[in-house]
Amino acid sequence: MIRARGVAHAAELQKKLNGIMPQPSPGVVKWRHTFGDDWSGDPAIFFWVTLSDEASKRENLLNASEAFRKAIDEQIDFENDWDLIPYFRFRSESEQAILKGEAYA
Amino acid sequence: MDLIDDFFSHAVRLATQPSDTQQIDFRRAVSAAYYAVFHLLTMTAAESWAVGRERRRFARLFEHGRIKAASQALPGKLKERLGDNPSPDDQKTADTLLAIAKDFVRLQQERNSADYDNSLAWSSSEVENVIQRAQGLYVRWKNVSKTPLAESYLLDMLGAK
Repeated sequence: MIRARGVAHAAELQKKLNGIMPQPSPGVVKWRHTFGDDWSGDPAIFFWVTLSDEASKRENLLNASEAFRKAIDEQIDFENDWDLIPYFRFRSESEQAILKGEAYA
Repeated sequence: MDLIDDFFSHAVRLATQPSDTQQIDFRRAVSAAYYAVFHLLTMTAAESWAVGRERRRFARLFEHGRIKAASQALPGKLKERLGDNPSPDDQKTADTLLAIAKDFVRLQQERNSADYDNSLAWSSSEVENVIQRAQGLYVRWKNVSKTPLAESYLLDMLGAK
């Protein structure tokens, strides 16, 4: 079975991810990632991004989320270099305080 | 395309009107936003089908998995189609299609999570972000849907070589 480069060389990818700034784009309070397969079984990396309440407001949300995606995409080409599909989820600090999602913690 | 508008209206209503079944509403909102873009693509393709009475059947030929596969293969396909010196207009169209393809794959993943994964609770922002991205895809698609590159992408979705 062929493994995604990002899975086979996870330590190398992790090093690259560690090199990304704690706040890659404005409004980001915290971000983390997990590896897994998507619903089609393709290898994937999932980003769980906590935004400030201000950045999460409806009128700011798209800009804040796109800025994070762009910042990550500019630094790592997941699909071509690591055979991983990147997926992104964004929620606000207040929402996370209530929902306490483990993936975001 | 009234159906597409209805899907978006449905998604927004579920996402923004609090109820006793909020998590179910959120999941249905995500699903509706995805189906808006899924049907946007299939109906655009069907509009080009010459036999009017068969357009609905034609639209049903599209499968979620194949559209994902076509979207993932799009960067390579566009390189082939554009050649070495694409015109600025073609390059702009290609960039737009690539953004659409990426968003489609992501929206499909969100829809599957919303429909099948009960382990994660959805937040209002997460749902809103899905709807906004789906609406963004709709706007971008409207700008390029009549181009030859977009038409080729639609054929890719049917598995055409």
